[in-house]
Amino acid sequence: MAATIVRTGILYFLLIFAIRLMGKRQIGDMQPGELVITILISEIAAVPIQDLTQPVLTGIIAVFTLTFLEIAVSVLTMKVLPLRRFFYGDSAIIIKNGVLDQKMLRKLRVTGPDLIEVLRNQNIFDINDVAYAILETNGQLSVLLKPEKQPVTTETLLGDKPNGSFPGIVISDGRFINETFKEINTTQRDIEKILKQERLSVKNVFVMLCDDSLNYRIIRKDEKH
Amino acid sequence: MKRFFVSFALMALVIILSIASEIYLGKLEEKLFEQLKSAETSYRQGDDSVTDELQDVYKTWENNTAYLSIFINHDTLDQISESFLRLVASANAVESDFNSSLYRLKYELYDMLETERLNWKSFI
Repeated sequence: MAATIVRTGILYFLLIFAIRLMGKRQIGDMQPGELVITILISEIAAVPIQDLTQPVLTGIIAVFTLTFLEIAVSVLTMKVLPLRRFFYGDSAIIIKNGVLDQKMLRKLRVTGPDLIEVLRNQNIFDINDVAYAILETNGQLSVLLKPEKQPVTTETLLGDKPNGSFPGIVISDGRFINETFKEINTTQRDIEKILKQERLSVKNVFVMLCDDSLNYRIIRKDEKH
Repeated sequence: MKRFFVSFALMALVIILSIASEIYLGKLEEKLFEQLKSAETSYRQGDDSVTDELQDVYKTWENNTAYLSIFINHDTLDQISESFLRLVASANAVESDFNSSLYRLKYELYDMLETERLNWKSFI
């Protein structure tokens, strides 16, 4: 019995250490990789607690290995975009200007009723009100309403037009995201022109957002906001 | 990146410990099998020292079980200890199953060591 108590204590603190070391990368719900790690780690840690013939070290080694893999994958996916896609997938635009992308829905295995239900949960009862709906990699649906359907804000009361454009990420960590150009009807050349105006090189850009009207926002690397 | 380096350091430590364990197991395997071979030869020659030799092998084994229990399943270690005792008993028995006990013990030791070895068999 004492062995169970001690092992439980060891593995408890080990798990706390491992989870703290991995950190919380995703804002909001877990990515698939994080879900896998969370389940695996808890299952592995339980084995030496329940089975006293199993050495504690096997659980410790497995937890350390999983922690290292999770952190290594997160570092690699930051640097290598195709790897990021492999592990975490891509966000997908499923509604554009009130029009459903049925091909994308089939690809994602999302049914119409599922989508309508999620929209209703966000108090949207008419697809025509939606400018953009994006299914994120964590399974959440992000919705941008058409300007005329957006709630009134101080800016709109003062005469500013509400924004109905979808700002795509065109540069991330110093690299162009070519897939976004098609979504926002622009080209790499247009973005390079903007960078030239701003006297920036693509390598100096941490994130650049741009919509189809070429309204952009650049966050330089190491810029503090 | 700090987290990465900490986890990398821990992983490196784990790998170093694995390699060290493998080297340790290799040396233990060599010693145990050498002693068992000597005991087997003594038994076949009808030498009276066979019991002492087997006791020495068992002592070598017992002296290492504390460290082995850190990374080997305890049931496996208990089973091998039992096989050692059976082998020692069979060396003195009138109707002896020394051979079967010996080969069984050798197999169990081999199996334990193979499981811990870094090769494709243990990976799959």
